[in-house]
Amino acid sequence: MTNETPKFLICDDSILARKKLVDTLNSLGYEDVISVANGDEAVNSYKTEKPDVVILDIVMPVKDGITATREIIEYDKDALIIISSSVGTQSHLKEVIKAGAKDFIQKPIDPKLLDEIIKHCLKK
Amino acid sequence: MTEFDKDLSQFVSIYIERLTENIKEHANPDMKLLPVITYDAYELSEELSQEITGYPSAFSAINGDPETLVKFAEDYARVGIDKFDDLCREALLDFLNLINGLFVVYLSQNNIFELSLNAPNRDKNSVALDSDTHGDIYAIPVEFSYGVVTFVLAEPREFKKAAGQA
Repeated sequence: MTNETPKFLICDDSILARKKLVDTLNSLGYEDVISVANGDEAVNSYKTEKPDVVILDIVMPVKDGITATREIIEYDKDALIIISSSVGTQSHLKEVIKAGAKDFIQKPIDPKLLDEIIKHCLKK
Repeated sequence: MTEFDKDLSQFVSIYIERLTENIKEHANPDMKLLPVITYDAYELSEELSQEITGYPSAFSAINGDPETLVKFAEDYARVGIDKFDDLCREALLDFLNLINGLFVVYLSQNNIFELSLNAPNRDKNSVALDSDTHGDIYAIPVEFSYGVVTFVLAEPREFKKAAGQA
């Protein structure tokens, strides 16, 4: 990867949320975005697509974002995972960090904050 | 059916307060909260719902006539929704997930409760709610220039008993 053109994998069960996130990433200059609808697809896509940054929702059918984070980190301990969710409670934040995610962003997503988080994660 | 505007539990009061604030912020500021009504039985024309899990758990849903729901969905999503189709339903559930998430975060940040959410439920069949199964059922009607959207919250009675409010 080059930091100029990172590849993103985004995962949210809501078509609308995926569309909004793709639009937001595109507006921030990130054009290479793959989107999937549940945690199972995210884990499989991570292995085949090898994205630079993963953005996962927490509450999803089939496999939730925290379980998917654990499985991706198990496969690649250096995976850059950002959790994006409307459920940013204290207990969820603890779970997210424990699972191996690098950061968390509360929905509705503030594009400027998302950009800062992405840049910060890519610098690490 | 009993109409009232007081004696709501803290849980329900906070839900309504956060709901109205978040409708104003994320969908349409030109809204009016109508009197909250409690029911022993209530029918959703179709299921657009989400469970709030933990203690206390609760059932939440959006209900209304399709024309009004289309306009409300477009107020929120702004993606050109003009008919009651899957995209419209998706937008309504996305909004329900957002307001429930922000409600749960508010409770957590204020050290009131630590709750979570299940994934939203969608089913085109009608759903009958009853107080024996779902607890106290509150219809929270919100009026817009184009019609009324009703948010439904069902609060289990065991929790009210434990909180000394039954």
